Amino acid sequence: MRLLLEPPFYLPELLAGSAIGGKALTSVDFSDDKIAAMLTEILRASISHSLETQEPLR
Amino acid sequence: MSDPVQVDGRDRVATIDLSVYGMDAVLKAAYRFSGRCFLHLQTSEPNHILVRMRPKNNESDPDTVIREFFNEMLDQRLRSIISTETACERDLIMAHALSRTNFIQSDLETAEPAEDPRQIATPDKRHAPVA
Repeated sequence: MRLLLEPPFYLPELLAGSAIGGKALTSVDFSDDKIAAMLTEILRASISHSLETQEPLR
Repeated sequence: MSDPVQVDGRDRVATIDLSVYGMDAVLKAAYRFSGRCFLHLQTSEPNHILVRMRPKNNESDPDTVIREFFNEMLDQRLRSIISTETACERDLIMAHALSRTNFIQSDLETAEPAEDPRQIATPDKRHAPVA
């Protein structure tokens, strides 16, 4: 199953600064632990950003 | 009623109804679990989110972890409801606490450095040095 990287879960500016964003991918293989770890960190940072700034999430 | 959790190898995929938990609760629960699990979120049908999760530790039971995730979402949702319900009381307590605090003490603003009108430099008897 291919997974989509959508805002607000994955902020474009955070994806762009990652190895995943550098490849300009819009979907990834989550079964790879290294990619899953990277995505989880981006998700974590995106959530942190959303909650700190109190921006509407949807 | 169908189980909202699907099995995909060691991954567990849960369909979350936002009308029950709310987006904030999902995000806060995901943030808390991001240390223990690989997590992925994406929208599915309207007003629903798909949460894909896999424990980082191979010894953890993914079925237990996804159930704990549901409990955490519920906990976060209840916190949000209580916070909203008690917002007025919280603001009132804070305002009352701050209103009784005098940040400027006029006598100290104009006092001579050599004077000690409140006898701050004078120790209590029980702390006074023994002669």
